[in-house]
Amino acid sequence: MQLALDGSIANIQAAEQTGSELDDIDALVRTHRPRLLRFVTFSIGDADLAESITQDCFLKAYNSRSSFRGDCSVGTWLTSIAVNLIRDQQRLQKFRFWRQARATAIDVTVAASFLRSHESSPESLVLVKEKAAQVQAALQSLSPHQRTIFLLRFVEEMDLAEIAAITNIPVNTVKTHLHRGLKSVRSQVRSAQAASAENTQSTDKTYPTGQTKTAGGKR
Amino acid sequence: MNSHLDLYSSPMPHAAAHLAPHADTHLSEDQIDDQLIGDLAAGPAAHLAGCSVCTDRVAAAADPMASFQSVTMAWSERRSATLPTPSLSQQKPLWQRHMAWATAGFAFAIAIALTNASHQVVLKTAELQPTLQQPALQQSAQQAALPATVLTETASLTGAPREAQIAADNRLLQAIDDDLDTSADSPAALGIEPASDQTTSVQD
Repeated sequence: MQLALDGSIANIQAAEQTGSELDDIDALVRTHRPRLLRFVTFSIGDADLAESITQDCFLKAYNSRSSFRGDCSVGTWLTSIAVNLIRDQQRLQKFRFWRQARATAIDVTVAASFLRSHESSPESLVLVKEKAAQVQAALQSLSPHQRTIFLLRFVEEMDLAEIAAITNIPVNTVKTHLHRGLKSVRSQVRSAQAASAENTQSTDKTYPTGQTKTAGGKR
Repeated sequence: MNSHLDLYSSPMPHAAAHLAPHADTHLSEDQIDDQLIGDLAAGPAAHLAGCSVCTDRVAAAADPMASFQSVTMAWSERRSATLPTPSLSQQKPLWQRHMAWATAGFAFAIAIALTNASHQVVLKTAELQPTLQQPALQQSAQQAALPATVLTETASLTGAPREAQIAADNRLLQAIDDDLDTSADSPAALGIEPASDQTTSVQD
C-alpha cells in the first residue's frame, strides 16, 4: 500500500517536472533542438525543410503540452511529434510534382569540420569524417520508413519498444526494418571501405616516396 | 556456423587466427546485427561478455554509426545555435486566430459599406443639382438684355445652354468677323495700284 502511494507520488512529481519543462519554451528548445534537428535533417535529407519542421515541432509541442501525460521522456515525446510531421511531409511530397530533390542536401564532410579537433588527432578526424560520409551515403539508399527507424535506433539510441511506440508499428516489424536497413548500410560501408583501401594502395604505388596525397583525400 | 569467418571490417587482421579455435562459439554476422539492434539472445550475449574478439567485431561494426552520430551532432549543434527560438506570437490559439479573421472581415465590410454610402450621397447630390439650379436659370433668362459678356459669364456659371446665350455668342462672333474683315482695307479700295502695274509703266 505504502509502495503504491510512493509510486503514484513519484509519478505526479515526474509529471510536474516535465510539465514545467514544457512550459519554458526557451529551455525546451535549448535542450532538445540540436538532437531533434539532426534527426529530422537526416530523415528527410533537406536542411532547410528540416529547420522548418523542427520549429513546427516545438510549437506543436508547446501548444499541446497539456496533453503530455508523462508516460515517456520529453525527448521521446518530441521525437514522436517530429516523426508524425516527417510522415505528413513525405505524404505531401508524393503529390508535389515540382519538388526539388535534395535542394539543400547536407554535406557531411563539411559537417565533420565542426567536430572538436582537440578531442582527437587529425588522422582520426579524417577517418571519422570518411565513415560518417559512408553511412550518410548508405542511408540514402534506404526507404524513408527504414531510414527513420534506423536513425531512431543508431542515432537517437532508442530501444525497440520506444521505436515501436513512436512509429506505431509492432516490435517485430521494427526488428525486420532494422535488420534490412542495417544489412544494407553495413554492406555499403564495407564496399566503400574496400574501395577506399584500394585507392590508398594505388596512390602509394603511384607515389612510392610518399610525397603527396593525404590519407582521407576525397574520392 | 562458419559465417563468423567473413569478418566485417575487422580492425585486426590477426582476428581470423583467434577465431579458429572458437569457431562454434563466436558470434555470426546476424548475431552481431542482433547485438547492434539490441535484440541478442541470452546465450550469444553471455559469450559476447567474455569474448574480446567478438567484442572487437561488434565495436568495429558499430564504429561507422558512432562516427556518423558524432559528426551529425556537431553539425546540428552548430546549426541549431544560429536558429531563432520559435515565436509563440506567430502561433496563437485557434480561437484567437478565428477572432482575428472575424475582426478583419468586419472591418473590411464596414469600409465597403462606408465607401458605398458616400458614393450614394454623391449620386443623390448630382440628381438634386438641376432642381436646385432652377431659380438661378430663371434669373439668367431675365438678364437677357444685359451685355453679351455678362450673359456669357452667367451662362458658364449655370452651365445650361440657352437661346439668349446663343444669340449673344452669335452677336459677339459677328462683331469679331466685322473687325477682321479686310475687304474694306484692300489697295484697290484705298486707290493704290498693284505693284506689277507700276513696274510695267516704268519700263515703257
